[in-house]
Amino acid sequence: MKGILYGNFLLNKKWFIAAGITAVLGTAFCAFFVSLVPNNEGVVATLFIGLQLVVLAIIMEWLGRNLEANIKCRFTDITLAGGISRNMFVTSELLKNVITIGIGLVMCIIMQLVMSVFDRRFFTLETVKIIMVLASSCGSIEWIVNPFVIDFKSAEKAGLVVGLVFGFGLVLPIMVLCNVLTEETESLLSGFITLLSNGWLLLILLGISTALYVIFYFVLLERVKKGDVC
Amino acid sequence: MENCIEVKNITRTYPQFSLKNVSFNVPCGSVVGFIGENGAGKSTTIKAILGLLKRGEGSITVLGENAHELSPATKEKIGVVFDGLSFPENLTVRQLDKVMRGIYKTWRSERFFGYMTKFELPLDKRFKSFSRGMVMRLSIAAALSHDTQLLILDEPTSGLDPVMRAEILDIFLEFMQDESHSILISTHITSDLEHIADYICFIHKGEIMFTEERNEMMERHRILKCTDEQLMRIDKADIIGVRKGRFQNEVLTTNAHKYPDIPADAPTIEEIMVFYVKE
Repeated sequence: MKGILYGNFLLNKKWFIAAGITAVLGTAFCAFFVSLVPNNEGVVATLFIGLQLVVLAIIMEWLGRNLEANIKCRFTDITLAGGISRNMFVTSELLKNVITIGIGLVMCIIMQLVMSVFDRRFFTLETVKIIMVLASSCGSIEWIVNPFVIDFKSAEKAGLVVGLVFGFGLVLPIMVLCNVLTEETESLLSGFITLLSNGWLLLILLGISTALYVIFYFVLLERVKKGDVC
Repeated sequence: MENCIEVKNITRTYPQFSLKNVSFNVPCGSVVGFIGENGAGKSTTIKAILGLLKRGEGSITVLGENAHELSPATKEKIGVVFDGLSFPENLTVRQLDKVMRGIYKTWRSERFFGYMTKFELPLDKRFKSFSRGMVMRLSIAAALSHDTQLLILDEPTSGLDPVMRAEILDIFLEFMQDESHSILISTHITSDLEHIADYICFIHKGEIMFTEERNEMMERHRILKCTDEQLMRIDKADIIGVRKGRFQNEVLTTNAHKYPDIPADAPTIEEIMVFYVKE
């Protein structure tokens, strides 16, 4: 398993570098904005959460593409025919996801630390909890894509299907519900952002993402056991 | 253990293709050539043997274990070579060594780099810049660089020039110096098997036509060179395949002794395959 992880992370370090560059540039921009226009922390806070999500999205971009590339060149067949059991293969995919999200999370926390130099409110227990839950949510959505990558032999198609189903089926209703509960109408995200500081929403999101990780571990395992991966 | 691979009544159905009751064995210590035209089912059968297809009818045992439940220790003994590059194209040889060390507990880096020197493969060039011959040599080296007892090769010489093919076949012969080693080699280049195969297994449209010891197969089959009148005399039950020419006809048969007056030639494996396939 170590070999697969080593090879995969080695080949895709450019995504980590890109996420790092985005984090640095984005944080610099936000810091500049905050120091220049101190009375607009709300706008910058919203922008900063969006920026952290972008960093997470960039850093996770390689996961589905990597699985697709390994399937297309039949390296997955070589590993499954070699010393790797199906359970180990799925576990290695999970580790890739979790390690990547972990690195993304660390980047986001460092971004928050830097921003806290300009405004302490950018790095609190609340902001750390929020980014942890958002990171695990993003990671779990990326995790769900894997069985579809095997079926479609394409990370793009799989991401599109999952994006559409989850986007319209789960995320949008959650956003609307948050706005209804908070009676916020400024934007689709405003209710959600307000409720993010509420412990219950964080717990619900954490619970959902944990459940998705567990359920789709077994979904992916069953898909690999079914055969015809490559 | 008499057979290192036993395939029994494998049936798999796909939208445009199916394997029908495929059965054959690979005796331990032997080289079995698995031949068939493109699309006959060779690669699908090999994937089934490696446990990479969905379960279905029939059974496959590899080194005494169910192919779908091979233990890690048994998988270490199987070396696999697929047609084309089966490794991420942006890796180099040095990086692949580290990757494979993490996959195979019995991986031998010194042996792997020894093959790299022998095959004159660069250590720091990405695989995407390798030629086809280099790719196949790399794949074979990787398959031989752990404690391999059984080599399973899917079209390992396809697209290679004759010199390269001869070199690779020599490597397989060297591998077979150890009597505990076995090879299952699937190919449509039958001339390669004339030199190394002990047994020939022929698959056509998803069905096994025959599995025979190579010398016996060559001895049994004969091509009768006959005129139209002579062709009329030959019992239809004795005709495996006919090729009609302008001046003479060729008939493949296993009963040439019944027609001593008709000239008969020994066929090549390729000719046998063509006659069986021709309808």
